[in-house]
Amino acid sequence: MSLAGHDEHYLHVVWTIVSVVGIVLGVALAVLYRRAARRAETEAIERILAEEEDSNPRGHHVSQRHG
Amino acid sequence: MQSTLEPPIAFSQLMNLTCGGERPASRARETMLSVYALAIGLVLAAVWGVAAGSSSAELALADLYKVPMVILLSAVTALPAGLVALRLTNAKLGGLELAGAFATSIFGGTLVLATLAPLVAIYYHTSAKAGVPLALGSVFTALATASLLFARAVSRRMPAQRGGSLLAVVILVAIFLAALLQFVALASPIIGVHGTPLEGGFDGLRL
Repeated sequence: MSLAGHDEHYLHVVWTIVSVVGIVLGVALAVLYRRAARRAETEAIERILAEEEDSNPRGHHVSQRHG
Repeated sequence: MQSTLEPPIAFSQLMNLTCGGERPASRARETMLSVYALAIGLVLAAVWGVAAGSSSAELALADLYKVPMVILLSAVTALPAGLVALRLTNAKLGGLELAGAFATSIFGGTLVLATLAPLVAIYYHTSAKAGVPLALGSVFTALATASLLFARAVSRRMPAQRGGSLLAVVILVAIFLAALLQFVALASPIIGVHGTPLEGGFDGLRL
């Protein structure tokens, strides 16, 4: 079927180009997921450290003084 | 590598969020869940694609990537317009929240598609009258479900001052449908070998 008067070959090329764009988007989403997973892990570590700090303020004070 | 400190995103968590459950506590987890929702949605769309193209092995294989690609490209075409509408209406809803709600609604819609896939396949092979209309009907049912889920998700995120946010939803859904129509035409044939009224794109519609 022709769209806007274009021939089959033209439409095939357009579909190939948009497919490549779609694949690039898929890769970008995978990268986004990995970055978010890393950020979530960092946040979890920070939360655990903060909880330890709250439960043992003296230990934190000593560790700060002695590096 | 999956975090050892944070539990991995579970399918039950995604289902819970799609059904209006609690959102993740952090932005990072919300981003992960949104990408996961979209990825699972594309897999479910591929399942429907195989059923809709089951008239020939070649078409079924082609639909395995065509249908997810059409949905992904339509979503990416529509999302910027929704984000711009959100900003211009000065809505309180964040861009990530809108994208998250959109991703889970796509998951919900494709879940309906995948659920109806066996019915589409069996009718396509056994009924000349109902095969194609049923396949198209499953698409419209999925689109309606996704739109309702999207509106509900945005409403829950914004209990007050939801006018601007819902306008962004309407604009996003309208542009998604407009893009979907043309991407389907570009990727055709998708449903069977005889063609459907949607394969001519906007120009093929009898208005």
